[in-house]
Amino acid sequence: MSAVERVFLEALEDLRAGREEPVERYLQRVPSSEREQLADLLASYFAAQQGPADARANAAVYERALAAIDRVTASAGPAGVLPGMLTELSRTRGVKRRELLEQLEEQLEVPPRARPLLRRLYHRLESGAVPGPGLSRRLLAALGQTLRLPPRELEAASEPLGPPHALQAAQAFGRGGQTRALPDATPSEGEESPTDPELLAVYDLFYGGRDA
Amino acid sequence: MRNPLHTLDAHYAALSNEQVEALWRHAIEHDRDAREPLLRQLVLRASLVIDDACRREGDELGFTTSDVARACDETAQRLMSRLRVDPSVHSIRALAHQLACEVVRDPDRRRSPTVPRLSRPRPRLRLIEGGEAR
Repeated sequence: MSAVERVFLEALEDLRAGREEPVERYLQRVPSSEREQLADLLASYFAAQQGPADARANAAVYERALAAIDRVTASAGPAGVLPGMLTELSRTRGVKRRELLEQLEEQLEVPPRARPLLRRLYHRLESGAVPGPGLSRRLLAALGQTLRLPPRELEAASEPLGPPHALQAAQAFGRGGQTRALPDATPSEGEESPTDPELLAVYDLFYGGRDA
Repeated sequence: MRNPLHTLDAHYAALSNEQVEALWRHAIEHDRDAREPLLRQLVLRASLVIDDACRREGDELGFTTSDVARACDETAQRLMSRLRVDPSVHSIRALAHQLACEVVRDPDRRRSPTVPRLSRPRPRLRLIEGGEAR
């Protein structure tokens, strides 16, 4: 019996006994060259475990998934899909904006007099008015901690997006695509850079760039 | 179908899983405006796995319909977020299942307030001696 077969059978036993581990743990038990084969076997098993194909049930699931994705991606702009993601993740996790802001204030050690500015800038971020490249890694890490997402995923989500377009198969298998210059982190209208050091520290979290 | 994203959803729906995944891996490296519609397509294709896993896991923990729906939406988001940065994922369905389990079992997850269910009072029946069935 090969390593793939052995681990696959162990996974099935675990699943039947209700003690399954994360899929990646099973994948780690086989040589890297055989992980794809094991992943395909596990995926086929999970797919086969789905209930009978009920066209109406499937349509309802698809419609709901589409609506959830639309809420995040439909308003992509200068901060990518991050504004929609923040709103939607807060909703799905049941985290109120007030609670999220309190956690940010604590993690970022924002002094009381700078908290109104943090709240205002966060509101601007959620509204899509803060350019993504201006967001600091510190802010993204704090958001990631609150919403349980790796900072690099939040960073990628905050990349500015243009109009969506289709990719042709020839591009994937042949010619490289185009890369687009990032917009700079210049604040959009309505937010002046403060001179007070404590306020400036908060301002830089949103407009100072990744290393601020 | 005025939303351009929905037009692209329909465009990619005609492709095989292998084709969509190849385009997605390419887009991650080279073209992020093309990446987002491909991420949507991958998550839509995993929606049944997500729904199934959240429903099954959630049932065991006594989730309400609303809890399950929120867990499905969160899993879809997390899958999309992971696929935005990680082209090395071997099996998207397996990852979707794993993320759904993590989301449902998250000990910090907030649940809908439980509403006490009142059972109907049991009917009180008396046997009437000498009565006739009608």
